[in-house]
Amino acid sequence: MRTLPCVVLCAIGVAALSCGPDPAIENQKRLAQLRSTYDGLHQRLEAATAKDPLVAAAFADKGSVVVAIRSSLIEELASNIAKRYLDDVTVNLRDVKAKSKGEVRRKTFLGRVKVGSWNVSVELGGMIGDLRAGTPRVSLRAPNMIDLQIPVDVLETTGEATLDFGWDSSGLANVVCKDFTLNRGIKGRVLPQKHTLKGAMRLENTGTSLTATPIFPDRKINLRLDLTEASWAVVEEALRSQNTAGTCGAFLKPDKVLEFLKGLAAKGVGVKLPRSIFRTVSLPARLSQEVTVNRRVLSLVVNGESLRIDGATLWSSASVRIQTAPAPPAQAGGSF
Amino acid sequence: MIDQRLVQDLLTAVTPMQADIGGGFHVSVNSVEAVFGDGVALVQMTGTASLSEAQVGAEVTVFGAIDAVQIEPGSGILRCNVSILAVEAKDAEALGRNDPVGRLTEALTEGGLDLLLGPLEIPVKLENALDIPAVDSRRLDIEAATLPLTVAARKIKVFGGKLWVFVDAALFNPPAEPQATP
Repeated sequence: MRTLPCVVLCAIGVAALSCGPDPAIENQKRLAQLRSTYDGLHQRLEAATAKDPLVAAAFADKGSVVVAIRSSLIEELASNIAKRYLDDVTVNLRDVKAKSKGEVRRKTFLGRVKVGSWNVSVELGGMIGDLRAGTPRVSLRAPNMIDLQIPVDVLETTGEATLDFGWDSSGLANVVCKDFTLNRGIKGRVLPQKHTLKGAMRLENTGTSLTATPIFPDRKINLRLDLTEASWAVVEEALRSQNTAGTCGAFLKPDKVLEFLKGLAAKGVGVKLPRSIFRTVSLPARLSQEVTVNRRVLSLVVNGESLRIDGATLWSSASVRIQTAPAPPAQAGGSF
Repeated sequence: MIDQRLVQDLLTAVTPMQADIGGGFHVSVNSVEAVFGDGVALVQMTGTASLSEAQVGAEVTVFGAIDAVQIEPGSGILRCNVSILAVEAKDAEALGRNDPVGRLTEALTEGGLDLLLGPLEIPVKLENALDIPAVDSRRLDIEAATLPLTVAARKIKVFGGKLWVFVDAALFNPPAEPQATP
């Protein structure tokens, strides 16, 4: 009697097993379903990436490492480099000379004749230019340029200068007038003024680094100058001291010469900023020529492949290959 | 963006590699394959695993994946973190009883992979400062400047045979010093 329930239970169990889903078949079904989902998702991914310009640009580069930098970061860096770099620049004006010359003609019974010529030279021996940059305007230009417009404020400075003035009589005047030269130490002023430096930085991919090399062909600024009141008085006195018989100061008319000199100073002196005012800088993304893998140092050969500005992104790529067989591994945590 | 071939070349250059990985297992890797597609930067290592004292072992395949990339604080170089996805073994009985593949997987997961593979660096260096050299010439005097940057690897994506590492980079602006109150 006791065996009956047991037999019934076994029968139910066998029936349940034979009627229920086969786990192997269920697994296959599930796997097929997952594969189908995977294929569908993969097709969607490929379709989406094919349309994405960023992905298309990335795959256009053949290098084994591709670096993409958004233009906004490049612009921010270039702007800050220019501003910080030119934030406090001192230009020595020791070699700067302002020169001018002219002729004086007078009416005579022989007609209008040249009575002499003059020349003036101001050497800015002890003067300096103090430059401060404002916020630059930066824009990227394909294929590899960063255009810059840097506003530069020149601050007022004063310093020692030397004025040389010479008079050379001509023709008949030479008989009655002596030539003369004046040399006076004066105090000059660089007037506060604003300029704009226009140029660019050329981006280059050296393989291991991305560099920005400045190109500023026009580094000339017209520096407006003046003399202190006391120095103008010195110049005036010097010119008037020649306004005597025997010298030709009378021909010169000191008032007119002074006016001319003041005009000359206001017009400014062309000062070419040295090329070294701009330096090549490396962007902070580099490729290393050495890596550690498995506690072994591998030497690499890195060659720049490409560099281009494409839309709002700077793309650069490099090929990397292993140069040397690695040294034996250093002692790891485990024993070998 | 790093091509799978570069990672494969780097790993192949240091292959074979072997280590006692813990749990009494010794693993030798004879070949490595890197396949970057479908969201997984797969690093497949094939070799043998044996119990440390045993003469014979089982052929194993260790499936790892690069699941994170960090910037080394000192050097700025990118360093990959490789995690275990799965371990397959033929003739697993050579590795002992009681779920030997499970124990081998556990050993690899708990520091064994690091002992076996060690660091995996990518030759990309991200610096946290931008140096501008000084100029000290006859005509010109400009002080050197350093622009500090903040750089951090944010996430990775994998497809098309490439590992895409997304890095946040910006100029570091120190917080303004609090104004002294009277």
